[in-house]
Amino acid sequence: MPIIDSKHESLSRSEIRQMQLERLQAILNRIVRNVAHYQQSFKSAEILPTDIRSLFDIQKLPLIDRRTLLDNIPYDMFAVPLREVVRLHPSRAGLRDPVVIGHTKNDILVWTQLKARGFSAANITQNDMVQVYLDYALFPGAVVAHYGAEQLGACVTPLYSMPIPQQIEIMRNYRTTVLICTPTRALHIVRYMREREIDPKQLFLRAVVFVGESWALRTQRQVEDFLFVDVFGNYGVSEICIPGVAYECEAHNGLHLSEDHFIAEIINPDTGEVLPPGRRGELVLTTLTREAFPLIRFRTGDVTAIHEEECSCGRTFLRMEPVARRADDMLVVEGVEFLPSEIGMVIANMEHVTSNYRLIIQREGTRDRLEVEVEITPDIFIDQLGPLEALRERIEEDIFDLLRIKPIIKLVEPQSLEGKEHVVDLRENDH
Amino acid sequence: MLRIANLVSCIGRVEILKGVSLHVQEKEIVTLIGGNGAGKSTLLNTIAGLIPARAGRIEFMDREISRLSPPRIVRQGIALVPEGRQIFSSMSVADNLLLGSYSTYSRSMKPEIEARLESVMELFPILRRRSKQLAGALSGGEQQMLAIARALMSDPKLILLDEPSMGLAPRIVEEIFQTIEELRRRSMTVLLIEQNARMALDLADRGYVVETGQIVMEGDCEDLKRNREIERAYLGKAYQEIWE
Repeated sequence: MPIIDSKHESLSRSEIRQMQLERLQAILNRIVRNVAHYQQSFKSAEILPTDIRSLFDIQKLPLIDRRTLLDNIPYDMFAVPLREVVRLHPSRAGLRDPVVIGHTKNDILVWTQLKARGFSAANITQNDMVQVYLDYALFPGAVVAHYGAEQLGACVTPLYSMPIPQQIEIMRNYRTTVLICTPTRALHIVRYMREREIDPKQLFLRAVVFVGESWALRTQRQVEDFLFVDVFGNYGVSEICIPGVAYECEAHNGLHLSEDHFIAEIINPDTGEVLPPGRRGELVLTTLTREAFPLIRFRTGDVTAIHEEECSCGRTFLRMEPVARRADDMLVVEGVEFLPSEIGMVIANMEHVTSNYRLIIQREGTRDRLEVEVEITPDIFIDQLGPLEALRERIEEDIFDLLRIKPIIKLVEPQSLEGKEHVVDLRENDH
Repeated sequence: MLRIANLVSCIGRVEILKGVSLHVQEKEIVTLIGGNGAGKSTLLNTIAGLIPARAGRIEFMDREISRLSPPRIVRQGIALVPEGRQIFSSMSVADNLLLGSYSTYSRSMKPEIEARLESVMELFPILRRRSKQLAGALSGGEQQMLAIARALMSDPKLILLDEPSMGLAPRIVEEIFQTIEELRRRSMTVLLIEQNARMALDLADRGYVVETGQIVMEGDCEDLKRNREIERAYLGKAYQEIWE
């Protein structure tokens, strides 16, 4: 199938390197003038933009992470005045202190083009009926995915709040050919159809595009086999653009990184040392063209490996493996990202409980279940059920307010969680 | 076609270019925009070999050229149209043109150079009419055309244009830009410096923004035109105009 942006997607490796070097130097020159954080951090690392003479030199620049962004909320990492920003997205909707990501007009256009590029690798064209099953309110990428597909001339139906039976009904009636959704939702659909014995051959689906979450290869196979479709993965980072960083082509050989807009490195999460191609480690991204919110060596927390071998599709961009797990503590449950410590904060605000807690996450069918064990203090450890039940409900409500996921709260005896791990993720075997 | 990395260049003891990287692909028109003293002309003069490169790499057609002398660089296929035309005003138009082929001239080349002269005259019919006149008697616009024509006489693959619209009336500037359009149609590759950033961005494919000897932005001209900072600094739009 044709490559939509062949001018960039099939540049020679040396052309890509030249372009990356030029863009890296330009963005460094720009941010050192405009962003106080980089000014200071480069100064303390005793480095000037002119010291970056090759792509290899990027390793001299300091790493940043989500903590850096949180320290600078709301607008201190912006490289342009706010009047030039046309859209703001919280990086993790619904959570406290979300990082605010700004986009200029150009940023939005580039993002949309990147989306269109990714979708065209999934062979979405004007002949397609695309159903977008993403949360337009909470997931920043939904709008962009929508316009990206429209840019290719496809007919797009935004259908978030519809329950699964109607989604399937519409898929059948509208003759949807491509479904864009999170891997979790695709699994929900598969499970629903399997339980109700709905024949997938009644549908006209030919492809499903995964966005917004990491997924296990098993999930991909399950969806492919049941729905008789091709599954294309897309990757992004909510602090940069999600999705839009990397995309899968028909060779299903990993995800092509849009290297004209990003530089990707793999580091050892413990030492920060840069690892050679093929080795698995934490993905670090540098944005080359972002105007409003440029990030230099941002630790994504996602674990993957980058491969240099040529791809049979003709694209010359390097490929990354689908992300199967994260290097930091960030948890993703039912598509919601959060840090365990955020739940710890909720618990710390309660009375009659200690600061000990434990999160147990497991998969029930296709859904994730979050169980929170909370240790109570001896002063409430009495035989009356009333106060205990009230406490349990309060914790449950507060966590629901934070995450919009209903947790199962278990109150446990004092000191029973002493010295135990905060998180037990029983889903990991799935990946 | 042209690939520059980390170019450092000085005038006297002052460092003008502080590590510039850029590239020009075949058949592309690339423009450099930036304020006075940003280092744009220094960059072109360094590529042409008139100013030695202090550090960095200049590759043309996969060959390092930063140590070559200006005549050898011309023979590689790079021609500079210098700022302020720099024609030989006491010589005739035809002689000015012939001088443009000086670095490649030899007896056996004569027929080819005559053919080149013919094609250049075709591009600029005004020069044919004035070929016997002294170059100094030409109007500013005609002199600029002569300067471009003279550069074309070396049969370049890449042409470096330094402020071709400088000091010309708006109508003449239009004409010069149409000429550059014509160069594009003839599959010429152009690296253009221009004070009139709007026209340059309308004409070119890609652009670089140069500030104090460093590149601060690179992109397709369409994207650059949408950038507010560029609108303000180089396209002469005030905040109010942007708001309206």
